Amino acid sequence: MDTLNVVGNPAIHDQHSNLILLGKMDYACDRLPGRKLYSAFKSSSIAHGAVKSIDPAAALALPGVKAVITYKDCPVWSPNIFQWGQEVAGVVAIDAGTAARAALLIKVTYDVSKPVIDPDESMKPGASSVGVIQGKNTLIANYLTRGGGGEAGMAKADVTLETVQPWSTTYQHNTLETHSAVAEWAGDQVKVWCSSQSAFNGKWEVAAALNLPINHVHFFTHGTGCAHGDKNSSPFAVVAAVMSKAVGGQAVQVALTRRDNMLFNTRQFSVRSAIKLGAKKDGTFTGIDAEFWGDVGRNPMAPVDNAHFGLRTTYTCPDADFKVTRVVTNTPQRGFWRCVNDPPGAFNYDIAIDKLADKLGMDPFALRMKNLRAPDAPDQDPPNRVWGGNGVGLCFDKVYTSSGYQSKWHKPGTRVLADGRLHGIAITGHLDSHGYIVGSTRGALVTITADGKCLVNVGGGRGSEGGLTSCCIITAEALGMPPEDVVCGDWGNTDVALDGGMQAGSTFTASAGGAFYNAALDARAKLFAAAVNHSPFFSLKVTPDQLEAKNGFVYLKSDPSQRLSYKQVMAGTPPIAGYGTGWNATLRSRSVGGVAQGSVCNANGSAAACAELAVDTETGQVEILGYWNAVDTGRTIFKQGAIKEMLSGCELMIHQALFAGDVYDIPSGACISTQFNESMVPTAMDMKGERFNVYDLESDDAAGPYGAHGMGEPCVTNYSAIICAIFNATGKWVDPEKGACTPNKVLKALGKA
Amino acid sequence: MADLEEQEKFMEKKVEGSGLSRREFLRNAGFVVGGASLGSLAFLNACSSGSTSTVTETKTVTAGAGTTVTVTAPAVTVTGTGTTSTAPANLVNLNVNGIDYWGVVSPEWTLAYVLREKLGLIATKRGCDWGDCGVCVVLMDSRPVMSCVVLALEASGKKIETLEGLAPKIGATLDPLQQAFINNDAMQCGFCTAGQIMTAKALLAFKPSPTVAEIKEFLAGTICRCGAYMGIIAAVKSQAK
Repeated sequence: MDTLNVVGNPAIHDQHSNLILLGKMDYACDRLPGRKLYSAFKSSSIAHGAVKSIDPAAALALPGVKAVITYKDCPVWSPNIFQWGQEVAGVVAIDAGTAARAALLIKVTYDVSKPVIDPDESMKPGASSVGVIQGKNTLIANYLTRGGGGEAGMAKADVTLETVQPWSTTYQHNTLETHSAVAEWAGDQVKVWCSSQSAFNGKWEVAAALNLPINHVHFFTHGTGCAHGDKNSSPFAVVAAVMSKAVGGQAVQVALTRRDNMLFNTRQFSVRSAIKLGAKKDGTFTGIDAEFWGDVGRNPMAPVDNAHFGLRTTYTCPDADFKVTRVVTNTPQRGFWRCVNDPPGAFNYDIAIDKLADKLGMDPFALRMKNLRAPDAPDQDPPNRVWGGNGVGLCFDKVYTSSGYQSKWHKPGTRVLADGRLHGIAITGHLDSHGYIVGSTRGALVTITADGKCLVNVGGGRGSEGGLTSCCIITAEALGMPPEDVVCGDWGNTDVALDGGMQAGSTFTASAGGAFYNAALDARAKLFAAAVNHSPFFSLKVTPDQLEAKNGFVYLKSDPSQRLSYKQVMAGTPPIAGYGTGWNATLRSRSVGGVAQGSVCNANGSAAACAELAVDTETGQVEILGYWNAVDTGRTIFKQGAIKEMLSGCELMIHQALFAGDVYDIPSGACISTQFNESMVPTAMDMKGERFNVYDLESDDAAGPYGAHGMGEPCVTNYSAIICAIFNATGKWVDPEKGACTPNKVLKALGKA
Repeated sequence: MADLEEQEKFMEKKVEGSGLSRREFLRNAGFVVGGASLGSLAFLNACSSGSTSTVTETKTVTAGAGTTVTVTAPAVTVTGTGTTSTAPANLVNLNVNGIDYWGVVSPEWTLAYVLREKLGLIATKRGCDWGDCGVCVVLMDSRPVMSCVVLALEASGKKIETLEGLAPKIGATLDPLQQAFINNDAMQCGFCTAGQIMTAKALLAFKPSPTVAEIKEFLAGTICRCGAYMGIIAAVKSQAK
């Protein structure tokens, strides 16, 4: 690897730390204090059906109420009800309490249909329609046959395994900041401050919904209080704009209550699977026949299509079938949320691999290594691209050696700790469907100012992932500037930035970061063009191509003592703007020994985790003794941010495995886990951080800027290690029953409950 | 903020995002700050439509150079403008970060609501509105409280400390605990940070040398959904004496 000054520098902290610690980071509801109205919603008391009538009279009669809007006024609402708690009307009032009281006074009648809450019920032939997709409840999301297909592979096998995995957990994030927006009209133009991760998506959503010219919408998103994909879409920006219009343009704040937010926010889908694996006696895979069903709630377009991705790409297998089906239900929407696709899919196929290992009498890690694809091997499926980087082997090796797995693994149910509890350990991992580069739609703007410093304007919001700081680091490195001279000028402001896409850990660093790399190169070229007009370069008749930049100086390549600081170059020079768009196809080609390996390569992150735990057979309690989380970052751009992400990844994986899960009242379709205490959110007391071990590994992937993958998603994907470790401890598989591996379910697996 | 001149400067500062000076902002919100401004108070916004209300209050304020004066607010008769709720008017005095604020509140208004929407102190966040998540924690007479479940009326006469009170100006020296949060990268999205810091502030005042287990237990009421707990715990531990 080449020597970099700024990229990966562990001394660099989040650019916005100071703003946050001074309480100056502004989130949507922090805007326009003292001159805005407030809102509350009337949500449906049924899970399926249609609104028959709405009577707002009593609400409008309440003093302080300014307006009531219904689905008839708001283009993102519908009279058709697909889940319990769906918004059907909203109140604007002088304070939040008055709005909430008024919302209760709105009378709504419904035509009620039978809700379908259970995905197994939804899949049955002749099931009641969920109503989302006309005439059916399922939708094929992905289908792929390799070689002769799964059955041909089974015919070549010495050993086959067939397993039906029950539904995994439905995991929701519960963003601390609820979905929020403040809107205000000035004439025919609207300003919206929103909790969105994606300023330009929000701008387009508002413009499209209200049929406005795009330049009549001014969209701002600064602080985003927890996001992780859940805040990609901004329907409440539209609602706020409609409400503001209804009160003559006065500012209106929409801030979901905790209950409304939990009913609206996206969840990671749960997965059921039927997996057949065939292998030779030595463990070599001969065939895979894997079918996954994803419960997508009321969102038929939820991204479940890559539930099989890790199984498809991580291991070599000549004959295979993969199929993924969406199953709609009358429950809250599934969608983007911390690594959609991979975790629930991996949860199921990792269990299948461990079951096969048990049948073969093999160490499941050894079975994985037996079939792991070589990092430089092209994808087994069309278009058979090479991988820009495939560090899954690095990740497996790291957690294997650092955890001491070799000396700790034992046959299932055979090791008892000194205190009588059962010991278990397992490793899972995969090449992830995230971390890739998204086209060329991302834009970037950097400005070198008169004082020789650089402003970076990012067109995405500020979520949790450190993406804005990463863009500044990439810019500083490409410009040859010290990191303290490159600051985030503004972000999430559609008036002063180019579209940076959604600020999310899965793609932002590789995609928007690539745009900033290009913008920095553009600015640097302009800077060099300006520099040659200054002495000593002018007197030496230097041309721009003879210059280089580093540490805040422009210097002559052939004689570095001939140099000017950025400030000296910029003296008397107008500010220099550099523009860039997202990583282009040519640069996405991985170069090996100077030879391009194809016009476009895959560029995905990967990760592996090892869980070591103890199971109390009397109480069913699981204690994490150690957790090792290794992530292939390609190249770590923002070191501190990467470490934070991986540590939080450990916490979230433990949460997914042991805590999470929605709870429904099946007959009515009511979700009854709508508060933090009901959805068992982990607190500081649940942290076993001294037992977390995280590793950012660099596979030197030439596809992203400085070889970077996005890494925010892969670091939360391997919670399957925990259920596999529970099996290693007990010799019994826990049925998650659409939730987490709670003590009661562990006891049930042990035959004690 | 004992010095009146400094207080005047403070009053002329723009409130973030409102486009108003702090004086204008508070006046619009129906609040006044203690001291020189007291005589011009007008409690217009928080009075019910069409009704009238008369309020008087006596307050002792420090008028610079250690001079203490007692000021009796003029009796003010307020006729409702129809812009507010039906709730009866109630006068409160909140001492926030060393500054006295006076205003009329609706009985249902929480301390969090008044801090954010009436005083413009937005560092305190709203997460759940019923004491579940802890992002709204402030100190009330040095004790941590979830301000979303404390009524403004309950807080009257109490000393309230918010994150803004630790290092109120950009560029000012950060409180050591704030600096520890930076050094330990103890935040991601930042939405819970004010609650975490104020909770930790109370812990360190109550117990200057907490163990890691005690830190975890004390902070357990403030949720971080990004999962930055490890940095937060390390930051607080670094400040243990």
